[in-house]
Amino acid sequence: MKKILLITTIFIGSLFTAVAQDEQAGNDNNRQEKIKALYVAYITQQLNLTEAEAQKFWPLHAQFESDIKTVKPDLPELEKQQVVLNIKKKYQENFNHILGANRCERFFKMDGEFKRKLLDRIRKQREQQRPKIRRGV
Amino acid sequence: MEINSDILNELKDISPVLGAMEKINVFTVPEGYFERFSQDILMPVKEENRVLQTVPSVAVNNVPQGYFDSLADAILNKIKAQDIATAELKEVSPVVAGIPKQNIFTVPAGYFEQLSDEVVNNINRTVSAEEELTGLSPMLQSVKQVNVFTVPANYFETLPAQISLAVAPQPAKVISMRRRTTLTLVKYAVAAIFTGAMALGVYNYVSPAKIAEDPTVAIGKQIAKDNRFDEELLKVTDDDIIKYLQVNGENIDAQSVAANVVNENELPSQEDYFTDDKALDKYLDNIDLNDLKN
Repeated sequence: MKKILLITTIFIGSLFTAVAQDEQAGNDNNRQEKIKALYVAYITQQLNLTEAEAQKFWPLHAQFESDIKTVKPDLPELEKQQVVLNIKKKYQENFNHILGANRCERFFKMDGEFKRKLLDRIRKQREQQRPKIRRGV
Repeated sequence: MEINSDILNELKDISPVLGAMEKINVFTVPEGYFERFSQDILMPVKEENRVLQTVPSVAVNNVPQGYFDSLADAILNKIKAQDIATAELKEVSPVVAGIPKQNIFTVPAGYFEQLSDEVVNNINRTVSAEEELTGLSPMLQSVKQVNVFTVPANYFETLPAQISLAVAPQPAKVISMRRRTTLTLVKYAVAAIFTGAMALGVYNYVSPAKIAEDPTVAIGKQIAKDNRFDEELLKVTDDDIIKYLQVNGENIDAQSVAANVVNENELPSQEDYFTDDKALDKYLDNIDLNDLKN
C-alpha cells in the first residue's frame, strides 16, 4: 500500500520535472524558432507559395534541413561543402516536383539571401548605434 | 678533340699506366696470313680423316686367333676360381666371416614323428568349468550359486496401494487474508493515473497539431500573410541572429561573415577616413593594445 503510493508519487514528480526542464530549454529555443518562422515567411513571400504547395514543401524542407545538419562540422572545408552540395542536389529533384524548375532555382538562391538579409540587419543596426566619428583627432 | 683530351685526362687520373700507353694497334698479323687462312683451317681436318681411316683395319688384325670363341669360358673360369663372396665378407666384417658354417639348432630324437599325436591328445583332454575356475580363482569358486536377494511376503500385492497412498494430495495449508475494501479504491486511482500519464505521453508525441503542421511554419506563414517580415526582423536580437547563423549557416561563408560583423564594430567607419587620414593606423594601434591587454 505504502509502496504503491511512494512509486506513484515519484512517477508523477518525475513527469513534472521533465516538463519544467522542457520549458527552461524552450525559452532559448523559442527565439531561434522565431528566426526560423521569419525564414518561413521570407521564403513563402519570395516564392509565392500557395497553401497547397506549402503543405508539401515545408515537411520536405524540414527533412532537408535535418539532413544538412547531419554533416559533420569537423570535416575538411571543401569536403564539407561537397557533402552539403550533394544533399542539396539530392533534394533539388524533389523541390522541383513541388515548385517547378524556376522557383526551385530561386529557392536555393533565396536560402542564401535570407542569411544575407540577417547579416544586413545586424550591420544596419550597428551602423545606427555607432557614432559618426568614434575616435577623435 | 677537346672531348678526347678530356677522356684521356680522366683515364690518366684513374690509371696512369693505361693513360701513358700510345694509341696504336698492338695486334699484328703475319704477312699473307689471310691468303693462306682457308688452307690452314682445312689441312688439320683432312689429316684427321686420314688417321681415322687407318685405325680400324689395324685393330681387327691384332686379335689372337680364336680369342672370341674362348672368351666366355675364360671369364666364367676366372669368376669361379676366385671366391668373391668370402673375400668380400672378410673384408667387410672379419667377425662374421670367422663364424663357422654350422647349424646350432637341434630337435630331440623322433620329435616330428610324435608331434601330431601330442597336439591331438592335448585338444581332446577336456577340462570342466569348475576345474578351470578353481585354477583361476579359488575365491569365486567358494561363492555358492544362491540368490541372495529376497522380497518380503506379499510385497508386490501391496505395492500399488502403497504408491497411490504416498502420491495422494496432502491437505493444503490455509492462510486467511483480510478483506481489502480500502485498497480497491487506491488501486483504481493508481490505474487511472498511469493511464492518464501514458495518454499524455502519447498525445505529446502524436499530437494532431504536429502531424498537421509545424507551429513554426504556421507562424511564418502568418507573418508572410500579414507582410510583417521587415517589422519582425527588427525585433530579433543580434545574438540570436548570430547563433542562428552559426547553427544553420551550413556554408562557412555565412559563419565567417557573422564573425566579421561582430568585429566590424571596431572598424573605423567611412567617415573616419575622410576626417582623419591616419584612421586606419590608429585602428591598428588600437588592436595591438587590445591584444596586449588580453
